[in-house]
Amino acid sequence: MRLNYLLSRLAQMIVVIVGVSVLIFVLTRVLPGDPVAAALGDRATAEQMTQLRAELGLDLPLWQQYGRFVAGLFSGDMGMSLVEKRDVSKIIAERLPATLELVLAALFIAISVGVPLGVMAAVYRNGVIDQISRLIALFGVSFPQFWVGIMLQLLMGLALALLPITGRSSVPMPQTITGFLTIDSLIAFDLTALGNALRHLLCPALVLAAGPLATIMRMVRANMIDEFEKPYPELARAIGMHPFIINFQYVLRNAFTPTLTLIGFLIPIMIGSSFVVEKVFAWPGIARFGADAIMSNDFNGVIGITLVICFFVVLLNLIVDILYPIIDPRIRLGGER
Amino acid sequence: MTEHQLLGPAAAPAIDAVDAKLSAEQSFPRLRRFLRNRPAVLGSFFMLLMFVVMAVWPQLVPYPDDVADAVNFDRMLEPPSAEFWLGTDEAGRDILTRIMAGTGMSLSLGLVVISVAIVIGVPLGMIAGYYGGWTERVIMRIVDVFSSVPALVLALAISVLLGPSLTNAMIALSIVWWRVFARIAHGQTLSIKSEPYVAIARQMGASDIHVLFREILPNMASAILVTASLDAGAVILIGTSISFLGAGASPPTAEWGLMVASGRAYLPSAWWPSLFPGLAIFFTVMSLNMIGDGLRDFFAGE
Repeated sequence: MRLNYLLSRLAQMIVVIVGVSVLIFVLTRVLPGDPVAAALGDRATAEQMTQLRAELGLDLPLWQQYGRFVAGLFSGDMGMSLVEKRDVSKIIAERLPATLELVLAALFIAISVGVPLGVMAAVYRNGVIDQISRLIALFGVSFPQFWVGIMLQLLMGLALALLPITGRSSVPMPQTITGFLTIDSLIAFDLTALGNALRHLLCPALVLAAGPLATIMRMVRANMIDEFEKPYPELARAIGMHPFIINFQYVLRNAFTPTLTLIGFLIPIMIGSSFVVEKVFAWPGIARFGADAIMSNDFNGVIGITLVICFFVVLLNLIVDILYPIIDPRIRLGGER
Repeated sequence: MTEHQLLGPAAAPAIDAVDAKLSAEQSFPRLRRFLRNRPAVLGSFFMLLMFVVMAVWPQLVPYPDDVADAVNFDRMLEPPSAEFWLGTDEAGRDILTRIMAGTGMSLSLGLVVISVAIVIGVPLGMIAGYYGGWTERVIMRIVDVFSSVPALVLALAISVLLGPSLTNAMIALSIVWWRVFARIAHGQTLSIKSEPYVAIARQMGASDIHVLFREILPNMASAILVTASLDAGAVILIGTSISFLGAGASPPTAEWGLMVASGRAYLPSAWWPSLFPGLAIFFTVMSLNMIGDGLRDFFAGE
């Protein structure tokens, strides 16, 4: 049953990824944006443009172009980036860890702060914590991230001089193993590098975490309150169980499933937001390259980045799905209860 | 004996006023219930104010010439003062004037994108939920495809491919956002479809069109309305981000995201050109969220 379910999910994943590749491929070819004009500039002759178009294979019929692209994909070749004049797959391999580190750090902050705050808000319903959480929730989903990023840079970096406001590191980093600066410096046990990497990570991760934190907190609160209406928390209190254990081990566990679904929804949103956050904080990840590639009609770059992002969105959603029955044993995969 | 006779003629107007208020409250119980939600009222009030500014800003703004590409060398980057309440930007233009002029752009962005997304998404979602089978599978798989690319990324790409402009950013966001409403309409249709009144309507020989638009659609209106008001804020956030990244409105348009972007070059000494337009976005989106939360509580209570 479980294996069948996983196989059908994998098939779905492949359908979605193929769908995204077709969608973005057709969009780049059909809409008026032209990489050749963008790459050669205004002074290019018609001859030069035809030549480059032929070199890039853009003069072929659409289905042939797609066929070539898919064939290349299977040998790990995503084509050449017109912006950086290098292989897109190389650029992505180089920059992917930076974005993953940023997004995962933000997700970690959002969950580890948002969940306990949501629990507290539900336990002390309409109390001070609940009111504060309501404000955080409203603010968290209402501000534009590029603006808060800039304001945070102004405050932290320039006015208070507390934290670095651009880039990933400012001291020599240990040898690259995972590409995650925090993990690499832990492996090398280089505490200076670790501290430096963490300090660079803090501001962009906070900006990226704020919105998801707010939504997670409200979702946990709402579901905790629903669970409190049931008889078992009362019973647990009556037999003298410690409130902390009741709230976190029993009620939270039962109330967490919708939050897990929410986290699945938040992941693509966070990856999208990283396009803005990486730009503001000069973070050398795939999102910043992606934004540059999109802005200059670098088709291979755009398609490569979109596919990689889509892959991670689908993969992380699969992980969320697999976590359901682990967190809540009442749930069986495949919709069987 | 009526109240008028009891209290004498002097009290009559007051009593009439109370009566009128009472009967108004009794006849609009739903409105009264909505008005009890203070954040929602505050949000609605702010939205109303914004629509007024959007309509009559040319009469309100202190420096009408500063909306477009005026350059005033004598007053560049002046801090907030009695003369320029929110300061001036790098071209010496009054920031308050430009923020007021940009109101319409952000509001219409939210309004247009959400309307188009509803018109495309809701019928598709309803068809998928109502007919099921292959129709449902194909439509919902397309929804999945659109959902697995972040909205900002897809909208940014489409906007650039169409040629960066505010109109194209709107088109791009509409192409991206329909899936949200398709998914909601799909879920709602699935649950409403099994209600007894739908079965009765079908047995009485109602056509599919009748069942879809007269029985099912009215019953999901509240869910769509709540999502629309909450998502209008999200659309404005992504729309201004697209302009901030350079793929939406182009200078010298008084668009809020663009104003933050161009003010950034003059930090940290001049903080006002990027602070205030960002605050305008923040308050707009916050009001929409307060209205949306209020509507959700309102419909949940019914």
